[in-house]
Amino acid sequence: MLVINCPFCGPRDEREFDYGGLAKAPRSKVERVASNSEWTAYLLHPGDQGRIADEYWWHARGCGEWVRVRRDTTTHRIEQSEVESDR
Amino acid sequence: MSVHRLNQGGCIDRKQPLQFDFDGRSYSGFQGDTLASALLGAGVRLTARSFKYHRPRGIVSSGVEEPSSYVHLRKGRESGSEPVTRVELVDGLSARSVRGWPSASFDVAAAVQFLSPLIPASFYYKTFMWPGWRLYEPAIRNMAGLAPAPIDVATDDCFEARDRHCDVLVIGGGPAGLSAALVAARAGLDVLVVDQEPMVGGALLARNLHIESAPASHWLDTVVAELTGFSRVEVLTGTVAWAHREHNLVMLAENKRSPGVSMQRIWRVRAQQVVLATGANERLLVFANNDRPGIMLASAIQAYAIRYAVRAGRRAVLFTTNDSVYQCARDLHDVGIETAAIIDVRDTVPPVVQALVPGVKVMAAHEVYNTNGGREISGVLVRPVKGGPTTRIGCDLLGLSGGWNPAIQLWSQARLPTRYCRRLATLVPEGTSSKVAVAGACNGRMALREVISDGLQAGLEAARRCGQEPDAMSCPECESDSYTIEPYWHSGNDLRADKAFVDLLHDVTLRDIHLAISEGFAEIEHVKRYTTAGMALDQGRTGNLNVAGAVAMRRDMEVAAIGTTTFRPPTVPVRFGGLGQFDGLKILPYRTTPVTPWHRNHNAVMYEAGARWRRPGYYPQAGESMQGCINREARAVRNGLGIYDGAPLGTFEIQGRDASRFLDLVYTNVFSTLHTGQGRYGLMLTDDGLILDDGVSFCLGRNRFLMSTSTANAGLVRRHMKRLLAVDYPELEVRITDVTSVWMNATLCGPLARSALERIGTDIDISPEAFPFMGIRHGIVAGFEARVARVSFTGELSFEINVRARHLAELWEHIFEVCREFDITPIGSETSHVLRVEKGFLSLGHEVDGTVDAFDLGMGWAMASGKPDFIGKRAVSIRRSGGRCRRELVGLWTEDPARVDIEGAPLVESRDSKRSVGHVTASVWSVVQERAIALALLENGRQRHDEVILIRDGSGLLKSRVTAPCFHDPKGKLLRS
Amino acid sequence: MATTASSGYMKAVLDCKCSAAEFDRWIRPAFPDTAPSSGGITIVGTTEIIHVGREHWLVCAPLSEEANLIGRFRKLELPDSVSLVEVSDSLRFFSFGGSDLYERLSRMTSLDVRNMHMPGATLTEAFGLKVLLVRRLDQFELGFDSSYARMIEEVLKNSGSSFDW
Repeated sequence: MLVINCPFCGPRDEREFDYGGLAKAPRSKVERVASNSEWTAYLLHPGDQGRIADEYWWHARGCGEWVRVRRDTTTHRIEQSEVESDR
Repeated sequence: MSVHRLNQGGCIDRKQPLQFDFDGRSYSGFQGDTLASALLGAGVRLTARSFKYHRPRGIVSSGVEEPSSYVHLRKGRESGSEPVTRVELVDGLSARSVRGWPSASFDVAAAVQFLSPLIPASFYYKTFMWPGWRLYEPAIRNMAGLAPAPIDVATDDCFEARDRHCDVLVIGGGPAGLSAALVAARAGLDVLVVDQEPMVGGALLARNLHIESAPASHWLDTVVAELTGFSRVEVLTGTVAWAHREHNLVMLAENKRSPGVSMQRIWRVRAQQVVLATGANERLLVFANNDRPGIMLASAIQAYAIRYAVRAGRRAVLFTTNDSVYQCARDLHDVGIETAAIIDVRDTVPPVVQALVPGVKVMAAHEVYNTNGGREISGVLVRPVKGGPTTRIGCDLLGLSGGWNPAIQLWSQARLPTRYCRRLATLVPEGTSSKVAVAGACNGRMALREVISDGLQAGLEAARRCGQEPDAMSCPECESDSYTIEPYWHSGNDLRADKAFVDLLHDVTLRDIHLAISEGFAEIEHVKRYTTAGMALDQGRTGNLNVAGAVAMRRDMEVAAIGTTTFRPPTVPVRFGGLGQFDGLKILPYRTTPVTPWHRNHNAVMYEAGARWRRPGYYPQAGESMQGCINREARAVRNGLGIYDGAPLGTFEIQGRDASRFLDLVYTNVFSTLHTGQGRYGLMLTDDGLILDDGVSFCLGRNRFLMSTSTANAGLVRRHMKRLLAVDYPELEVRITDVTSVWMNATLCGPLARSALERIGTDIDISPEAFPFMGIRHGIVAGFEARVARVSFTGELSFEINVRARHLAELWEHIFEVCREFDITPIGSETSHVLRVEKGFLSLGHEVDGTVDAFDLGMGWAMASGKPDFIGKRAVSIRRSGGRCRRELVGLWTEDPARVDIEGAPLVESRDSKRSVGHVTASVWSVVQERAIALALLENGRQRHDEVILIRDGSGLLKSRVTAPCFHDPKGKLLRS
Repeated sequence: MATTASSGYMKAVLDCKCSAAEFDRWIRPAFPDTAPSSGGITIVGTTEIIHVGREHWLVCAPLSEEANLIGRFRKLELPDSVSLVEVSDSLRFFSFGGSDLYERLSRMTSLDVRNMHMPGATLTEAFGLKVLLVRRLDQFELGFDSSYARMIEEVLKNSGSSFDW
């Protein structure tokens, strides 16, 4: 059970979040320029994960923000967490 | 008192005697005893039979490291094998040793000892193979192994699970832990101290130590009194820390035993700082016949004497590699246990420790190489380490001290490194961490003075990291006992390796270690798994380092280079009831509507539906079969008036400058062209082109929409939409509010629906011209503010009356009262299913199975080719461009009109086909057609109407005719009326 | 002994989604003398303004004042970007206090509820469900989706310690 820092709510237990997959480039930007095979790869490829996972956690049982987290998968150390959108 | 129990001393309460039985015989002990101390106090020395060889064994230790005596409790009603040293004695306790029949004392299977040459380590890979292992397995498992599984599935035992947050978690309530806790407590922090024993004190309870010239118990009492005086300090006894997880989440198991019931509470503690003060345990020594009853850890003999006022024997020999047994011998002398000799492997014994035992014979540079005895030890055989003549010394007790092992399991679970320390001949924690501190014997500090100051230091650092600057505390004056050790793993001379045990609990001998190495399993991880050394319930606490030492000696390497195996949670066994949070508070969530009590009162059979809703399946009347009931309900809807509780339908209010653009993005068809009061059925895809959901969305006003989704997928759709807005399209201004539980509906369906609504009373103009199909209107219905929508999932004229949830029950009752003349019939999900199959309406999970797209389902009209982009558009065309044959939605008339049981059956071209060309997605009895009807997905189905296709039904084949996937009102006249 | 958990009750609740600037411009004027939002809960008489998310507020009042609360905003021509939805029916509240309050909470939620670590109100999880948690002096109030009300009633009956040590 991680502790994930929600930018609005503060540090919260993982139980308040749903895992949102690895971060990829936003759909709107990719779809415009991708060929069919690039688009297929974008959809089916889960994302590249090195030791540091760049991933989303949705604060589903909290404020509802989508938090982008960089997490060391060997130690679970969370390097940073932020909200994607700038609004 | 008896020869085994002292008249005074110990932490037991002699005023509270307790009765218990062990292996069928009755004994008595005292409040404060463990089962182990009570057995020793009653003079019971043979308490177990070993795992493979059924050798007689006794009690070896006084703690969790026990490698020998395990019991199961309460005549099998409690699961698991417990070490006798960890069972708190309660009145009426009933214990049985896990092996040995009819008892450990008299064991029929002891004869197996004579087979021991045939059953070394890993024998099961080489012997008992012909004609098949299965023949021998049950017998072998019966003879070996641990306690049986409990006889009852249900349990009276209590479990609970709790969350806890604190500033500083101190694991271990000995002198180091208490010192750390005191510093943190005085700094005003929120401190949780846990100790696995029923009282704190750790090693102070098991030895005669002095602090500031008084017995250590005085210091202990003072510290505990001060600690418990702080309101923000909690001390949990009887509590074991069994796992250290990410971000300082520590799992605890708080255990308590009462007569007839045992309780376990699991704590999930999130601490800012963790201090590990888990102490160290002594390890055994390896020589021939080192496992007889009466052979114990030296410190255990001492602990039984000091803490439990029990004399484990009268005449002891102590065998050691280090200084700690000398103080032990002094304490034993004080309780009347004579030490016949101390056998020390070192060439010279430090004079300062020798001075502790003036009257005792010390044989330096000697080793014990064998023991005598049958059911218990009667003597030891001693010779010089460098070889020489043998001496026999008679004794009834042999205390071993191979060295001390810091309890580093939790440190290791926190992924912090350890190293082999030559000076202490053991593994110690290495390095530092900003979240976990280690202090005391666990940190390789062996003298009391060092232990306490280590604890104070750890407390200081933990407090600083929590933002406090505590006052420095000085270490009280106390013994600064010396500790030196010479690493010694086993004799270098002639030794009966097949009788020299390195792991008592799994009956692993030195010969097995040599066997593993000679068979090529020389790495420590392989040795462990080949021999199973260190894999038993005690996790090899008293033997692992001896295994490493034996491997080092055999391979002529340094012990430091051998490496260790990984520590994984749990550090001690945890009951499944605790792990599974078998806590009365934790039930599977379920959801109900305001009309649920009405459904129950009207005999509805309730189903667990999607998204945790409980919904009525059907409402059987007296004497009705399920099919008869469904037919009656379906007929009511087709011919008259039905009503259902549509409250669980997912509903969202969607608003904002970009609301209509957003709907055009998530739906396959166009919504931006809707005008106020108008709705449209839409399909929602995921970007990979598969159908996520379907539903109807209405325009409520400029830039305001009401979206409805399926019941089961409401949560998925919400997540889908929120993710798009947060991650992919943050520039869109769209606000989504979940109103599923705000507006709840009762839906009238059937030809009489309009008349019924008139009777119910509304100010809305419900004529077909004013209120067409797919419209939504605001107004008053039966006196309640309502939103009425004309949607139909049944194919009949339908009015979905949405009112605020607080009014739904009253509305429902009112409807039934005024609609009696229409013979209004409540319908459940079974009937809904029949009605939608008759119409060929798609159902997620039936026709939508993750392989078909809208075109396959005949819904190409919903795929707006004019829109430049919507979620899933591109993937659909990519999938279709492959030229592969598509499975398309069709209807089926089975030749036998009564066959409804074919849902899921594959479709084949001919009797000999190996390949299926589709499957039946739904099959029901149709009241409109008065026969069975089915929907199916069939390759090129749309071109094959009126052809015959075969349904593979078990071993037989059913003929059926392909038709259009709609069996009632194909032009949809009725629902638009 | 502890106060038993009451059975669920409703409150008047408005769900407001807009930017902080829009909130201060359109909604806050209805409640004079309140400071600009910075998280947590602001109490104005019997009304509570709870800042539950970056651009998300819940305005709560006793159910008897629902008409009054809604009336403050009915005449306003709110812009499209300000979403104000009546959601009173979707929440069911349960409150409890008593000497074993923190023990009960420790069995329900993973939130750190010690005094100095908790704002007055927040969205969090309890029993694995999303919940609005409000702290008042020695009482806690938990608001669940009303469809879970029966389940919560059943579970709260057992929320004291299941056994005595």
